[in-house]
Amino acid sequence: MDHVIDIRNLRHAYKNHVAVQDITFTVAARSIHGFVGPNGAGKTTTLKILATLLKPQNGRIGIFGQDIVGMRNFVRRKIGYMPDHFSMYRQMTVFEYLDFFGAAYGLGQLQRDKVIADVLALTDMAGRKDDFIQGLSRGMQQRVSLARVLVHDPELLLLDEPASGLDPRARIELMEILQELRRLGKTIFISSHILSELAELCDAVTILDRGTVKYTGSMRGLIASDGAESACLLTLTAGHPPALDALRALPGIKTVTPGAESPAEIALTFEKEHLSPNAILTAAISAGAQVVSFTEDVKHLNQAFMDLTEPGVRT
Amino acid sequence: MIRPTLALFVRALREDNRAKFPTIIRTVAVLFLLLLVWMNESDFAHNTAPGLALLTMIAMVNFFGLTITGIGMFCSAITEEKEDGTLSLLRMTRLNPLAIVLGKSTARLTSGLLFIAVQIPFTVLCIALGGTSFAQIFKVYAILGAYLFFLCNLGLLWSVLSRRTSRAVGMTLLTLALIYVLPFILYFSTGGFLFGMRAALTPLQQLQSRLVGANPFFDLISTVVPFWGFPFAADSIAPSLMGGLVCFLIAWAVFDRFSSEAATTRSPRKPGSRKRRFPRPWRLAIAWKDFQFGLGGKRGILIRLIIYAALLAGILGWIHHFNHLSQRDVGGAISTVAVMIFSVELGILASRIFGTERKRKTLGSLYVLPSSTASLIGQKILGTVLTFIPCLVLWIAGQMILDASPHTEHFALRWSEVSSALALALSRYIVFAVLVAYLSLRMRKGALLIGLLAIFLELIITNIVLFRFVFGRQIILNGNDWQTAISHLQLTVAAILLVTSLVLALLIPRRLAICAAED
Ligand SMILES: Nc1ncnc2c1ncn2[C@@H]1O[C@H](COP(=O)(O)OP(=O)(O)O)[C@@H](O)[C@H]1O
Ligand SMILES: [Mg+2]
Repeated sequence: MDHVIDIRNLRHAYKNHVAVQDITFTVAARSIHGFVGPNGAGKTTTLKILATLLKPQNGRIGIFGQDIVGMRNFVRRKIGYMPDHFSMYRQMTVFEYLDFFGAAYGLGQLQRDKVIADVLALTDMAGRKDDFIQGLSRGMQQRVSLARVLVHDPELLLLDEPASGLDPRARIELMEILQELRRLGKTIFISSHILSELAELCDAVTILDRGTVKYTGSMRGLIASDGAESACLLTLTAGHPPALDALRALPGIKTVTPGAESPAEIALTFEKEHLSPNAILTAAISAGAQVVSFTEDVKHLNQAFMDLTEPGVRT
Repeated sequence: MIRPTLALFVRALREDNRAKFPTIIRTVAVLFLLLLVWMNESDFAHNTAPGLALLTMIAMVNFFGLTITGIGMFCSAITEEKEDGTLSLLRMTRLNPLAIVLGKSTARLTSGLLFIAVQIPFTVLCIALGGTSFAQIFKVYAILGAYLFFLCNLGLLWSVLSRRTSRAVGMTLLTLALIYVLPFILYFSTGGFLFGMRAALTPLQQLQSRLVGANPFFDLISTVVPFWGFPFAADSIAPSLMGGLVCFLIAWAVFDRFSSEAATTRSPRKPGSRKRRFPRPWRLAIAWKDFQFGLGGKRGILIRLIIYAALLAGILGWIHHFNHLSQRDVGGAISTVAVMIFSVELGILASRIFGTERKRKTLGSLYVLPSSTASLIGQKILGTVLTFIPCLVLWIAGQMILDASPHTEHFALRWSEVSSALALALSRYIVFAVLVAYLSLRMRKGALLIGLLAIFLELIITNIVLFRFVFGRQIILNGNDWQTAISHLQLTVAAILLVTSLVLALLIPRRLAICAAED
């Protein structure tokens, strides 16, 4: 099976406000698929429909080849849905919470013991299993949420903005857990309102704005689709004027802008056809500069996101 | 200081005006009065003082109606800001404690007094019906107004002291029971009628008779039926006003201490941990959860059983000390108390069964479990029903004592006579529970309050219907037929209530789905 999620012409309206209109896309098996859009784009609505909380008003949705409406309980066993807010019994301990959901999914006691140990190890919460959920930090609560979603060993994870509100460290750790889960063969459908946050993690991405799909396809494709221009960020140990001159002299280079605050960080845009990143690095090094890092410009990715979505406040 | 207080007051009044609920209540009150007047014309015609009978009924309905609504309204005055986390924001404005306390309570009090005031023109109709005077009507409303003032400030005080509205409501009810109900029970059960004849009263007895005298309920009764002649001079207006003022002053004085950030947010239990206090989940996991975490599982049952039994033993022992109690009295008292506790627990649990999940936004995660909605609801009911075990044990104990007591046959009622009344009472409990559970899925707060009011209204209307029936037909029917007619009527009302519960129960799964999706 290559498509785990297959959404065709999905539409959903609240009273007379259309939240999702006619969206169509697929999510491949064993991939991490990002679902990105500004606030109010309709991400949560789509995820709730996938999680069988809302009934699709129009269109067909298949999950593992089964219709989401007709095979509701089959679908519910296959998915793990994590809402965009904490949905926890705060008076329980971590273990009790996971034990409860394990039992609610019909797992026997021995099976639960094993699974809970596994998910606690995976989320690195084994040491806190007897703590009350109430006293945990936000990042920890998010891990418990994730552990809960994993208890019944679902093949598809639906995560609604799991990284929002987390500090950078917790965010990176969460991304590491997700990568580990992909290695274990799970398909992950994850939403976010920040494209760059998912750039390194995702294999594919769907960009949604005001209920319509603006882009769906591979992450690479999104970056490549953005015209003939490419952008990089070159960081040196210190500001180095000769290197700047060498870079400006390269054929195909468009702009070379050292950061106003830190001249060691140089933003570059160039034509892909005429110039390779390799040549840029070579030029900088042969000019005598000490390179610290050389990456794709995330700001540029944000620009791509801004170009795909429309300005203005969503209602 | 005046300006900010006024701002808060005006804001609250505006909110009150925008809210549909108070308007509905006021309209219902007036319609209800008109209904009473209309019924009065045909039914109390042979009464010597129809106006007075009407006034009595109005006074009683108002007293209980105001108690129920008042507690719900006043106890949330400050706690609602605490629950929304906006109290600290209010504190950061120019508002000082007095301004906040005054602003938050005055609007509600005004709204309550308005509720009383709109009735007066209609009640004056009583004078036209005869048997009552303007002075009497005026006194009834003065007593009610003063009582409302006391209730408002008592509720405000507990609202300042408590973290949550539910806690404030509980403490207010407890206070009212302590100052109004308990002295009354002790007073009568320990031969309080004789107090007046004794030369010297102990300080405790003095306090008791004071409290009974200051009880607005008795004051109302001795105002509308002076010929009943209570053995004490009841005057509740001054004590109510004084009590209200004292509560207000305390609320103001302690406001700062209880409104700080630390006092309003629950301290996280640190170093919070627990090693397996509860048994592992059952196969019916949701039932397990509601049972363990609702009112504390097996341990909670045991603790409550001990507390209830100890309290009962204490009070009965105390009364027995003054006034010999027969085995039948004891059995009856235990059963009655069991039913009362059951009523309270039923209300609380019905408002929590779905309400808590909805407030905590956990409905969604239960709803996506691979089981049917029917199983979800069934398990929740199972987990909740187990919580009633202490009441059941208490009730059975009371019945056993009753059965074992001598002379039982003498008091035994014929089953045919009580069965219809029992059916009515049971269906009333059912409709109450279902209504509150349903309302908790429709509104964020106040489900229990509206459920109580609805049952209260139903009680009055049913009883008026019964009353009207009795007065209307009594002349034609002889004794036995009259009894049958009453029980038919009771069964009819019971059937209506059951159908209503069924309709509401059928609406619950749909509401549940909607609420789960809204999380
Ligand atoms: N329960 C609801 N009732 C009415 N409108 C809603 C409801 N939930 C969401 N919406 C509207 O639907 C649109 C999409 O919302 P949502 O799916 O939550 O977006 P996102 O998760 O991408 O921020 C928004 O305009 C929002 O205002
Ligand atoms: Mg969202």
